Amino acid sequence: MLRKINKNNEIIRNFLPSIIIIVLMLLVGNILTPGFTSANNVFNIICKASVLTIVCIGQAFVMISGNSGIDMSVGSIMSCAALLGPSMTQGQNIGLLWSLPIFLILGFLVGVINGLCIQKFRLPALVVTLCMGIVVDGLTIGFTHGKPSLKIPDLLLELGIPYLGRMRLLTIIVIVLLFLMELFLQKSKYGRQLFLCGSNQNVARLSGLRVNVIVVISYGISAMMAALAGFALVGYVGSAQLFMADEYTMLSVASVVIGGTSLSGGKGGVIGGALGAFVLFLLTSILTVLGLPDGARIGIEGLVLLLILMANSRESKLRI
Amino acid sequence: MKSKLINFIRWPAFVSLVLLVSLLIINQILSPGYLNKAYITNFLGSNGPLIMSSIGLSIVLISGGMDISVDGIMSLINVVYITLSESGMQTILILVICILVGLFCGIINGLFVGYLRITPILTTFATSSLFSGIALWIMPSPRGSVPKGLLNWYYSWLGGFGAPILFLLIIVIGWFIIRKSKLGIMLYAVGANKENSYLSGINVYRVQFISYVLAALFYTISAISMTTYFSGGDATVASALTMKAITACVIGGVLLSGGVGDGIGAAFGATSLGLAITTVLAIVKNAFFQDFASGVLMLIAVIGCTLLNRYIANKFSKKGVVINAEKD
Repeated sequence: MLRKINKNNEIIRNFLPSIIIIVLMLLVGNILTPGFTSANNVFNIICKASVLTIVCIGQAFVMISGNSGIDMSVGSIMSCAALLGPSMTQGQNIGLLWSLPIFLILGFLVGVINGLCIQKFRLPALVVTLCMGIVVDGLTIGFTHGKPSLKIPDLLLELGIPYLGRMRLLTIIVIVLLFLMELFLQKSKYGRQLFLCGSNQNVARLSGLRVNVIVVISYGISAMMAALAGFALVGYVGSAQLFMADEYTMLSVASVVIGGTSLSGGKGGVIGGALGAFVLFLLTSILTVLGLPDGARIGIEGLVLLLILMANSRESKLRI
Repeated sequence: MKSKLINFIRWPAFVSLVLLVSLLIINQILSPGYLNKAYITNFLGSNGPLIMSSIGLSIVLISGGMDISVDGIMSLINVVYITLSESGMQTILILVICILVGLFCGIINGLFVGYLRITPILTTFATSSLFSGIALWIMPSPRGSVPKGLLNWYYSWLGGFGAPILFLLIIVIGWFIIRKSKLGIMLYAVGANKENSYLSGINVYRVQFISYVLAALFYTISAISMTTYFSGGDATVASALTMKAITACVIGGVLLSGGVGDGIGAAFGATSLGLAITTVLAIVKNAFFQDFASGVLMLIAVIGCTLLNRYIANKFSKKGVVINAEKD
């Protein structure tokens, strides 16, 4: 019983900052523009955040795997899946039946290559995934010749349409996915092993875990989630262009950290990333309704992000 | 003599120098006589900014930090430069203001990473968004030009080789001064082990702060060179530069975990990246797959150079001490 309370405390401590920020932002938004907290607007923001949440699930797996793990190729993989995936279906719903699995598997393979370079050659994750992003972008340009894709299956377009009350179909799917992945991370054998690898790879190796396999799979999951997010993004936006998801790379890293997962690994969860994603899109939305010019909006976003990070994730002092 | 040779091989920049020379030879075979005056002028104009900012970035990386706001700072300087020169200000005054703006950017980075202890990669992501946001605010669409007199001087310097050589010289000399100074030793020490440096009486926070300010100064000089070359203002002009600079540093033997590397190696790495594009253009004729080919080449270069560097460090290490291995 006591242990359970302690565990709940830890969860609250991790999520509390982002929940406080969300409530504050909703209040500020409502003061600045009355009607900001209407169900339609809030669920629209949640729907935008859902796409980022899918990426955050994968990014969280990579960050938990430790060894300064980070996946900078997710944006490129998303753009690639968003452009090539739907155009493979020729706009037919039935085409999704094979184009989605193919891209999930391809994404997984890209992630496995990332993971192998990082684990086998002991290269820094940042650089390997950056270069992999450039490679994937190059493939996208090679296959599409830079043309946007407009033939999108109706089923994907349904994702952004209000479904249950004001809730978008995409949001419902993402919430189910989120809880399944959180369960997988916290309760399954693989998830527990991943946490151990993240806290201390040497200990994990000495305990007889196959560290390389476990970490490589986490990169695979990250890239697979990015491919899935690409399909979700194209469904929400309605068309696909070159490099449309580039900013999602750093946004996913930022939201996972805001959600309480540390960059040093071994700690955290999937649900925090969803809260972080909501925070970021709420911020963008508030600044957009204020009618600021683009540059000022981006600048203020950076400033607020800096403040959030200052409140949320400072490193410990050198002097003990 | 032999120990001198071993020291040369153990130099972190050695592998990237080998890569640079072999790329020069490969290019010579693929397209004989490409290395003429026009090519060098053009190459230094377009790749000079990357080379200079890589040296700047290497200062931060060596001290154990990370900076992804290179493109943000350079875009801001670019926009400020052009806006001021449009208003008809004196060139010297413009340069001074640009350097002040660059220092200010560096101070913000250093303050948040050094004294407020926020994770470097996230801080610089946020500040990058801040700086490029301000740049986009000042100049929402590309416009502007550089004064004629300055442009003439830029292209005619040193018998037509162009002023990038001058900028590059300033940066390289600056790097050597930093490296040989007490500060340089502190940078390496902090990068290698923060706790130990703290215990040895180094003011770790101040060293980190200074590393970001110095790096920002280097980016500023490289942005001034870039702006004069492009002779126009664009808030997104440097957008791909950060990633390339990080890759160049890794190819040049700078460890992302800090403490090992040489700015000259980063410069070699950046030059190799530029030369590799010439190689790809000569081999891959299908224009749509050139990006893919250069990406693959980059990945191979990163893997190859890191493994070679580690092999050399292990093979020639003094008394079996592993210098160039990733920290577990």
